[in-house]
Amino acid sequence: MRAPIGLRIRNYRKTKGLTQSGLARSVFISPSYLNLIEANKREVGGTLLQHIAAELEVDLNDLTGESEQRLISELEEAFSDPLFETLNLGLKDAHQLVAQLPQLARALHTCFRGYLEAIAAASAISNRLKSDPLFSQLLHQMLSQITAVRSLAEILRDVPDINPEQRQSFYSSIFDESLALSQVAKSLIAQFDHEVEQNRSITPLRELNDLIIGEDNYFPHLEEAASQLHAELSGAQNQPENPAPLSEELLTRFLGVQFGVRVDLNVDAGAKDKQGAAQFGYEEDSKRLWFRSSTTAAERRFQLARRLAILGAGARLEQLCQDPRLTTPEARTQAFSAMASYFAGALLFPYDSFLADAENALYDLDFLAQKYTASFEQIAHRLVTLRRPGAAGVAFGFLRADPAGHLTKQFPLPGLLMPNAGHACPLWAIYTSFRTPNRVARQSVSFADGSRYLFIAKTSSKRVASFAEQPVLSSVMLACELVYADKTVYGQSLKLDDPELDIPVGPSCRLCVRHDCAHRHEAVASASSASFL
Amino acid sequence: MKPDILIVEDEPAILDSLEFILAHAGWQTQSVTNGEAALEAIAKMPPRVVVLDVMLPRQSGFDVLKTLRADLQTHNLPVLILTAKGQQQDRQTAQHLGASGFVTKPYANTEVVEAVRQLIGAAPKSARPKQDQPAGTSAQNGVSN
Repeated sequence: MRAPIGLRIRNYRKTKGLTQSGLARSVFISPSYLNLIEANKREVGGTLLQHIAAELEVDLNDLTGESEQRLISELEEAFSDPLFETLNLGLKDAHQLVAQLPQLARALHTCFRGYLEAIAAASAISNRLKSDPLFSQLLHQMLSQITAVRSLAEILRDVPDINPEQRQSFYSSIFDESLALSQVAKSLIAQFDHEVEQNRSITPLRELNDLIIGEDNYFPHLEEAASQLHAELSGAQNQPENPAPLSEELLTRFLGVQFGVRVDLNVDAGAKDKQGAAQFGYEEDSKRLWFRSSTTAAERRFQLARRLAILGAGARLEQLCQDPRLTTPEARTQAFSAMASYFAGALLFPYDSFLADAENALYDLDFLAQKYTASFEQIAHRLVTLRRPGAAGVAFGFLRADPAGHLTKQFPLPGLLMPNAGHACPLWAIYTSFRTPNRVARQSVSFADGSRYLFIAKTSSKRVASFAEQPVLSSVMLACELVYADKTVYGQSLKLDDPELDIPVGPSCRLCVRHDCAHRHEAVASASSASFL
Repeated sequence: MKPDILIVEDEPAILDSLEFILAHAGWQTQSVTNGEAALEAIAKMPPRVVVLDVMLPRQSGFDVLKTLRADLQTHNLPVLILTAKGQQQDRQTAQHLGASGFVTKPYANTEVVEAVRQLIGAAPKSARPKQDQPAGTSAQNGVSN
């Protein structure tokens, strides 16, 4: 669902007391064209949008409403919860609430998240009480100790003529049992806290996603540091516009010289029991980075770069992980890992040259993967991070799924509703690509609200499988608004001006209003969604 | 002398309190701390009632009950089950295995005494321990009666 950007421009213009012709003149367009933009009958983006934002003196994100769009999507998903079933709320209501009462909308979203967290905690506690032997044992101990204390106390109260020795013995027993009871209660509470932490609906991953989305998946300090390191490594200080690619040998040598890291390749026979199914690993004590022979060249290169990020830019990564949006040690650990991967991507695919290559190649991911000795997923991930203000690439959303259909990684595209977990619509290319592994599947899709996107997906294996081993498959998908499809090689031969040729899809069965879809495998969450049609 | 009550309980403090309150009520008691010892003691000299905790080391109280019910000699021996889990499932298990009564921890002392009394009747007054009958004290004092 598109953000009502035209309405937002009009509101900001009126707040500043500007006329339509005055603003149009300032940004060098005709008043009639600005009128069409404000009526949402014309797209606006790129340089023009930046000029409008500058004239209106507002942040570009506030103008595009990307953060608000995410809030609308989150509220729509919340309204589909059985909690709101009788209220018949839907997408229209979410839009209205965000547009008219944005603070209240945020408050409602915060409350709903808190409700989910409470439900998850209660459910976790209930399940563990029922089935966990540790809880069962702790509860039994508590009840036994309470029984002893109660019974002995009753005796002391009700038998006044009990002999002194026995009285003293019972007093001691009450004291000992009370002490033991305190310890058990503390253990039980600690166990409860651990369970609640593990079952929070605001998971560490969600906090990390909030951070990444908040920064628009672009971290300028990491980009700068990676660029400096690339220049140092490649000796291309005098050719920043055409940095040489970093070879595996160069990275290996640098790791050895600077950090004393030894790289072992082809670690296979006899090592399987020790390393298990992992393709690579790093031993902290011996500073040994090892790879199996089945690890692809792209993966080796990436992991070398990633190790370089951890050893060479660890302090900078740690600093990013102190962001207040990351509230738990687990979230900060996951963030560190994600930032190390970001740095590796920035190091291997330098921003300016990579963006230029991507645009020249019309975002042909296979071509870029070959040029940069990278995997499809690595290229896709880097494309999503090309969000430097004033020098951004096409805005892509990213999704990854396993063969069972579970979504294992995502970075959202504003306006495109992606499920936070579970499964997406079965018609999406991310799933159809499993039928044709190693070939890019592309599709133009339409949602029920009229929004249209280009989906590009490819299934590939992360390792070189032998006959004896099962390949580890995953499908990676990029999504962009269809208006940008002609900037890509995948949109070149598609008839983009005919929506009838699009595949009709939804975000997921639970949130989709296409009741008669033959591929539906789950009922619509609430009838309210139908109000959108 | 044949005991009135065999107490089978592994928690020392609970065992002490049960011994006291049942003796105070006038019964002769014998105590063991595990199921194996309980079966041995019953085989040697069967009591009038067994007060049996469910959560015992190695062999649970339910296992002991099952063994008693399978033996013709002890098939009808009254058994009072003590459990810390007052759940319906444990109560049903106890009934299914042939328990004579069921008391849930934490209990009031009078609950246990009353439950035993229902199974084997009141203890003879003359059997009450001396410490509960100082000179001039009414027999109505104490935990029970």
